[in-house]
Amino acid sequence: MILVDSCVLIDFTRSKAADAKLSHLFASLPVGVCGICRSELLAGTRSKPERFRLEVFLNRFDQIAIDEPVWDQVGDNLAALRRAGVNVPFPDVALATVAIFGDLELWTRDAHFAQVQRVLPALSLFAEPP
Amino acid sequence: MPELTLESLAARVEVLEQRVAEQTTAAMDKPKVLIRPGVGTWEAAFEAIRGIVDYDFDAAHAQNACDWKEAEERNR
Repeated sequence: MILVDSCVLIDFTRSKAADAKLSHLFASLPVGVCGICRSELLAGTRSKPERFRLEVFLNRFDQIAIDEPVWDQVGDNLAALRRAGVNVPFPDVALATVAIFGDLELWTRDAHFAQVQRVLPALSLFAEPP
Repeated sequence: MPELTLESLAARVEVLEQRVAEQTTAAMDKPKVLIRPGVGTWEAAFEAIRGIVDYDFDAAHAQNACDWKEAEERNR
């Protein structure tokens, strides 16, 4: 299972679903989203009809639940990153932790996740085909 | 009741070991988080995105900038 980061979803929204590579990958891979990705995409909503459209899109992905024990692990990972001198936004640490906890590959286009992976080697990053 | 012999016991142990191995593999294959399958079709999902004309693309940037600022302050 691949956990898709909101940056990929936002890029696809920006392309108005015309990005053929992403359409193909979404439809052919086991892709899922979690609450963090959902809220980050919905943050750009300006009207109810468009919010509904985003929901239709998001609901097509498998929905990955964030279990209670994940949050303690987020804290542990924040501490490990801090010790290593790596500054990363909280939602990104939470997302990385959801991926590690669920044994999921994380599909992101944000370069700083490579830094996170150096500190948290259990994080598996999906290699997006060119 | 069949007579217990060393061979029959060894055979039973072998069967039990096989069952344990199967169940262990099944448990390892099971996702560690609850995953609810997506609903609808991809065509409908893409059509929904095609109809979006007024999305605020600055929202993600603004939130991101705020999150980075918070991360820097947290680690100060």
